[in-house]
Amino acid sequence: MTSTVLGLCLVGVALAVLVLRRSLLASAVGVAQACLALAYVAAVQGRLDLAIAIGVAGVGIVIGLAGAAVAVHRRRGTDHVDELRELQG
Amino acid sequence: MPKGSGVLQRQAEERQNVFGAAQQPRTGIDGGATTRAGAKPWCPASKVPGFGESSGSHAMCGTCRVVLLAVAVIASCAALAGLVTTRLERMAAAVGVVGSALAAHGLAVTGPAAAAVLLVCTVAMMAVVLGAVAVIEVDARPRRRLQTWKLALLLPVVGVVAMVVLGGESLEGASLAASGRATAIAALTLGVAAVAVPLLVRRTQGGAPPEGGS
Repeated sequence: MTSTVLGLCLVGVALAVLVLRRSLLASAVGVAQACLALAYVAAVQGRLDLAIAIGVAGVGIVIGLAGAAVAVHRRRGTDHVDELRELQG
Repeated sequence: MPKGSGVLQRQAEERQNVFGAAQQPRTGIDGGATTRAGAKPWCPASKVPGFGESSGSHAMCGTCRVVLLAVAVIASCAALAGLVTTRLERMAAAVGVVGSALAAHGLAVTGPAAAAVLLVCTVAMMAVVLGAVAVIEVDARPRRRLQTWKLALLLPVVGVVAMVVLGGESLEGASLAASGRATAIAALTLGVAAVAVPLLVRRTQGGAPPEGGS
């Protein structure tokens, strides 16, 4: 029960960070911890299949968020290089 | 009937087969059996004279379970602080500690399968996040020297380990009350040290914050 509440709270904090600070990686880590807590609860209750499903879903979400963060970073780098080229004429 | 109750019932039947029907398993805070006789040899409770034979392949005493949950909760708080302040390396490390502690606790409660699932998930998630951090270098800040006074924060951890390992004799029975007292003392020590050490350092440095502090 405690872990379930903790996991749900972490999901909320991760979403709040995503909205307020717009940090994709921070949200990814928050979702990862929330999924770990939920998977732990499912495993303790004997629902190993549910724990596996939650873990796989969490890994997928984390991969998506981390990939998005890397894509945003590279896009910003490309824009910065374009600005420097424009300044150099 | 839920699947989990079947697992617990099977564990209780195994204990009855080993120790007879006279010994009833005690239940811990998570509903799992916490009989002292079910602990592994590496468990501190196994050092008590007259310790019974292991009845399960993944049993653990109640003290170890509570300590593992305390570690998970404390590391969760650290990860929460890292989430708010977006210090991703520390946050990822804290989440790794949470996953490991939960995996060890799951090993004691349900078995190796749950521990394997939690560990694989933890490693997969942390690998992805740390890879992205390495690519982006989000927290690329100037390198700082390790401050000696910060090592004092490790003292409560050493105290917890010593209390669990050396206090095995006094934890006969491994009751939930003893586990709770041990966890409370450890948490109190941790909090006092975390607050007192920086204050003392700042006072000795004339009120200025520690150089290069986080």
